[in-house]
Amino acid sequence: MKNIIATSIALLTATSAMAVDDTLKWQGVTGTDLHGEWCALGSVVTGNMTYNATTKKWLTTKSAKIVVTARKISNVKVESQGQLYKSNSATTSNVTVDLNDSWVDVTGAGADAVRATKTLSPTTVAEITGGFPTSGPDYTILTITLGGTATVTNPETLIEDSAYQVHHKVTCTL
Amino acid sequence: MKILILFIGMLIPSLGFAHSQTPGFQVVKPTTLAHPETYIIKNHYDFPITLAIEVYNKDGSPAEGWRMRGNKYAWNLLPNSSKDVTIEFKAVNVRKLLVCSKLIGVGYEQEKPSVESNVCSRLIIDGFRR
Repeated sequence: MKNIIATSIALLTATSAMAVDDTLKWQGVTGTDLHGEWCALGSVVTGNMTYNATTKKWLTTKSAKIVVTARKISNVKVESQGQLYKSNSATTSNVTVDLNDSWVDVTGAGADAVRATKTLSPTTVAEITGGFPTSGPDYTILTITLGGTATVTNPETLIEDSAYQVHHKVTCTL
Repeated sequence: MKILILFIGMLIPSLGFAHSQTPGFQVVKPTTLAHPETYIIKNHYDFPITLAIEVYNKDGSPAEGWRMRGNKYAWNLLPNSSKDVTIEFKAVNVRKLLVCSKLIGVGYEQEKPSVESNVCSRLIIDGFRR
């Protein structure tokens, strides 16, 4: 919410007998929310995985990407919802996603600090914590690239030549 | 060959497409045992969405001792519209909470989104000691 407090100064009629205060001027103070915390999910690019029947695992063949644009946040987390979907309906199978081939590129405000202090823990959760600027109007842009493997609890329930989906959740904490 | 798609191919190219929530981080000293806080949730997408409010403890576990004023927990928002939602928190001891608005539906049909965005505000309530 934008909150601008303007201080108005009453007009003075100056006469030759009055000292002119040349410090009088219009002034205002911006509220703290003018450039407040902000987080937006930017572009989302689909990734692909291919099933290996021998290992009974899916392996990434094309990484997925999520762009998050943020200001003054504390944490961004990406995690699998833990279920396998077929045409947007959940199947009976749970899936464990190991995001062991994931990374994050940082640009924009405080990029160096975020790069230097971020903690990316790419196991089942890709999480970026720390280093985000606490002041200023500019945005930090995180491009999170996701890759790794996925293991289904009941591989015998999979149907040949079928496409499945794993849905993810992006959480941004202000 | 079985193919797994990590994400639905949905391109959302600019900053303006998202949902947002304000205020962000707050520390409050309540004056009543049922402390009300109002959050503004906004739909920046160019399609209708449904958002649900959820409250968690700092460790991510579901929080207790809160309720939505009006007992409404999900809101349908038209494009570029916002809603003020008021939550009442039990204000006892120090509580460190995450107040989150979660995208649970997309479009008029409220389809489940393939990428569920979740925006969380941190809230510290320095409540009454018992």
